[in-house]
Amino acid sequence: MPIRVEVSRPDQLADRLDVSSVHDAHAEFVWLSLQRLGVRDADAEDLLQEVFVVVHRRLRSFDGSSRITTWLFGICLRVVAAHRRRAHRRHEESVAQLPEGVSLEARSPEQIASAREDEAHLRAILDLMDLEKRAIFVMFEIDELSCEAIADMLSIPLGTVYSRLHAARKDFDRAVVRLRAIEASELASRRRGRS
Amino acid sequence: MSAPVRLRDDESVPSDRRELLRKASGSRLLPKDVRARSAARIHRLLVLPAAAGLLLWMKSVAAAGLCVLGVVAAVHAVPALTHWVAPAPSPPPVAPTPFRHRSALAGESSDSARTADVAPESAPIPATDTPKVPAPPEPAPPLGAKNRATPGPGGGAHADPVPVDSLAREAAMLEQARAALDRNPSAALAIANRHATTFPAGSLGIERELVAVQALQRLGRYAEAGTRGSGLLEQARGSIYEKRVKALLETIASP
Repeated sequence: MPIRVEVSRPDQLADRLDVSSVHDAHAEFVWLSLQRLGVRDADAEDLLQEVFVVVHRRLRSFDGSSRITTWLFGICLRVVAAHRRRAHRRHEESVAQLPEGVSLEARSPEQIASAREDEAHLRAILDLMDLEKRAIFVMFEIDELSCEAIADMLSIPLGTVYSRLHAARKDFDRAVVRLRAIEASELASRRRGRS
Repeated sequence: MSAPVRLRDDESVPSDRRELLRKASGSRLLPKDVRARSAARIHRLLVLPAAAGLLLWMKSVAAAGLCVLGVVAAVHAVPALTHWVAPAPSPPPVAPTPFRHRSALAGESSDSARTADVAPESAPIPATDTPKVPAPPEPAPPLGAKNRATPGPGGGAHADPVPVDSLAREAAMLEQARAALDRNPSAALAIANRHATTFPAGSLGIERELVAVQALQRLGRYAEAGTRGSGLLEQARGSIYEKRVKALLETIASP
């Protein structure tokens, strides 16, 4: 189901640029962007706060020449990149979780296990992608946003969305191949260990 | 350029990938409780700097106040320090001698109820518990001199208040003279004369002249004592000292 995000025009933001109003209008967008950039549920709330701390600090530097969603998306990218570096340093393992929005009532334990496995597999592929390409890919392929909505949100021409989506798909293909190679390598390693 | 087809709907894409994307759940909307918590944190984010700013402002105001107090204290401390380092003949604490009371009552009649303050005839000027002080200070311009009603060595009634500092110095000087009266009348006379030059319009002119006349008497300079005593009697007319001065003049006339 496509997710609609209201995008404010720069001229509408001119006289209400404070962090509270930005939060009121765009917390949803930031939350979705964080997920599209691969932030886990356990970390999403903390990173949402982190993004708005940056917004609070840097709001004066936003001149309104682009959409505020573009500016916010740039902040999300940097915050998530920093978060990934920290997580990498801590050697954290991603924990595949079934999203909160997925209903479990109509599913059997096998179906739930299968859904978890698929989610973990997709996440593992997406985690191998470049952050920005991943976001475009998730917006279009998973969240079903139109290319026009993406262009509007990121203040980029429609043709740029197409080209970025094309690059994101190629990155996705490479990630699929890399993941398979990693899984094959781990499988071989386990077999050697057993033997 | 035509809009791209999504991979899940593209038959040319391997089926496992299409299936994977088809099963994928989209991004979830922001839960209300998370939004509320986030908004509350944003509010704190806005309030804390304001509170910190207010605190900083209050601290700066307090610091400025302390600086001002420090400067004021330093300004007051410097003279005290100067006195401590190089002790000059400074006035002692205000000596609450009967002088002041009498001076204040100088315009009253001799029958005044305040006569209790008057020293006995045998003791010309009563000694007080005022501690002995060093040499009296050098002359300082009498602050209230130009406002005096009866300027001159004799002193007299004063309409304006006399600065306490000046009065204290006068009292201290006369206390010295009175203390020296019995054992060293010359010194007492010298001090009294110095008082006359230091405080030509002083508040304690009558008291000074009383000491001076007594000193002259004890020195055996009766003529001078009589002359000075007569002048004192003119000044002391109608005051609480009148009877004492008359009695003193009688003793001088018939030593």
